[in-house]
Amino acid sequence: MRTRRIAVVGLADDASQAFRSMLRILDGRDGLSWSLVAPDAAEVLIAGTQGGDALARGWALTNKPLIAVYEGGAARPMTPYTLHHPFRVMQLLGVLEDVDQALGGAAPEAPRAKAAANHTAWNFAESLRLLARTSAAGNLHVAGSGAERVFVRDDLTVYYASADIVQRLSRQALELPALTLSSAKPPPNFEARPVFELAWFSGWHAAETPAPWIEHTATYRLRRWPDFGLLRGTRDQLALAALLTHGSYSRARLIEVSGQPASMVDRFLNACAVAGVLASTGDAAVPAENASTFIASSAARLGGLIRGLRSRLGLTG
Amino acid sequence: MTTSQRFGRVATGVAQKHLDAFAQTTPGVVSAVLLSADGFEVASLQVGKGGAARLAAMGSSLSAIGSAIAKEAGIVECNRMIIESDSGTIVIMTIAEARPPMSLAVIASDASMLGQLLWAAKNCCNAIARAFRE
Amino acid sequence: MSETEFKIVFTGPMGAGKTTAIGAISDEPPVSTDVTNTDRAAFDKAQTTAGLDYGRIALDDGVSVRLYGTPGQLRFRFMWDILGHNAAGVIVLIDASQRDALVQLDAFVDAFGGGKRMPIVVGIGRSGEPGALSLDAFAQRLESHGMTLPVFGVDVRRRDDVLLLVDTLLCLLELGDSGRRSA
Repeated sequence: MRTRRIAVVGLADDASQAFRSMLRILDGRDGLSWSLVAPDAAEVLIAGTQGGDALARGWALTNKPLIAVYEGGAARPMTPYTLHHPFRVMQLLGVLEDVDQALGGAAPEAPRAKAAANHTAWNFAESLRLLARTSAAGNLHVAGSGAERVFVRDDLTVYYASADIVQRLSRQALELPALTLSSAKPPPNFEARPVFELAWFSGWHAAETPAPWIEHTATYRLRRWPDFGLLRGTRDQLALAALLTHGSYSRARLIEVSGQPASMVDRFLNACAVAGVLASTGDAAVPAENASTFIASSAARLGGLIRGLRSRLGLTG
Repeated sequence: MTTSQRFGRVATGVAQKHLDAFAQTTPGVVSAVLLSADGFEVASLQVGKGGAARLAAMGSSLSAIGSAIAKEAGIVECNRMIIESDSGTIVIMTIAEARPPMSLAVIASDASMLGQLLWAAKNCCNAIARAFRE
Repeated sequence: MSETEFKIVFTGPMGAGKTTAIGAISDEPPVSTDVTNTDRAAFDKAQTTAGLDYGRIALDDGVSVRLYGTPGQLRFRFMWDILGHNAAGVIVLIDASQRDALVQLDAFVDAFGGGKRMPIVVGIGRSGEPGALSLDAFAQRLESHGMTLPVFGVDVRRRDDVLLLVDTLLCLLELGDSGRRSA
């Protein structure tokens, strides 16, 4: 029997009660036991938005998994493990299983602070990722100066930037410093845009090599498709997303199976990580029963048709 | 809004009477549904509630597809669809000038004779058209 | 599935843009089977599809890709089954400003196999408009049912957006080869 230690913070009484009884129901399932402990003894923290901010923020600075609980119409936090309240016991089980696999994965990487200091290209993206893991207090954080500033609300609903910055964001790295708490307000001419876009492109353009938090030996999968309608996804990105939503891959295996250059795969993994949709699955692959049945039956016969259709619609390249 | 409210209580009642008369005087009629072009049941005969609703939807699809095929073929108006088998016949007949547009779907056994069935159905449709023209 | 034919189904509630989407990529204007809508209370549009929309893309070697649009209302569910039979994939279009948009999403995704029998791509129109649900709400809804389907914010009046949905479907179909290699 494997025991994992979990702490809970920031859940209202009813949610907290429900969570505790769900933990009891799930106890011992699949040889896994969840023990409710104080935060400083825990391996996993489940954090809601009703208080416990300081604790969640401190947790976000570590490598330990955080399960973010959000409710109502709030935007999904940009972190891999989330639950929308009220959630059912099977949803909690799914997330706990993922967290268990992530904890059982490859050896922990170098301490975060050291890694960040060695990679200044990642300062902004890293600060955005940390913001994404903490609960919302309704404050604005800002990076950059003057017209080049980017404001981000810590509930991650929107970011504010000039039209020029928004244009450049999708094409190149903005080279912003880390976000800091600010009492300033965005100028009236700044546009309000979805934060996912900022996170994605910051992650995409920061480097052509793996981000500090990408482990070469871990296997990854996507918890959610990025909104390629918003991001104007390319075929290569669609293909990678298709792979990662139907199986778990290490970085090396993904490069091999996709046939895409390492730089493309690295950018994709980085962008997904900053945007909070990339989950590490430790060493274990996704069990076969999750695979869709159409995968076994399509493709070979359709290969020529797909090429022909792409050509006809102008989708080559 | 119930069917009779949407299509008019009086007209619906009149249509029902015509359906009853049609079935009583025409050999081989098993069931019939008066349906709107968008698949709602207006009145029905000898079909259970669920059955009438399904027939109405399916009849409207067939009718719509039939019209589209006719248009492709350069046939100006498709006003009758006849589906025949050894054991029975289905006729879907458009009711001219009904507002909203409607069709009559009839299911008949092999005891029916096609010519007689079509003639009686046409009369029924004309009578229903008068009821709904107002 | 036929060796030389390939069909893509566009489905979703009334007013979500199925006919528009097919029209954006079909070789000729789609055949439609519009009839007078008598249920203006449910949806205030003069016409509604009673049968199907049909479009076609002819490929170079004489092969056709057939495009089918289903009627949106639940009473035409039998048409979803007929049109979905042997389809290569399904594109579900939802209008985020409709009152019951999440329920509609559930119904259509479920009716076409939940992404298991054949790939499903979801296009959400009008998300982020005032009073409309966010894209997040739709993705979250599917996640709560254990599904990770592509959910993109689109405007099907833009051909590029329709092409994005089709390209994603094709990428999912291409998983067949690579999916087996990774096992």
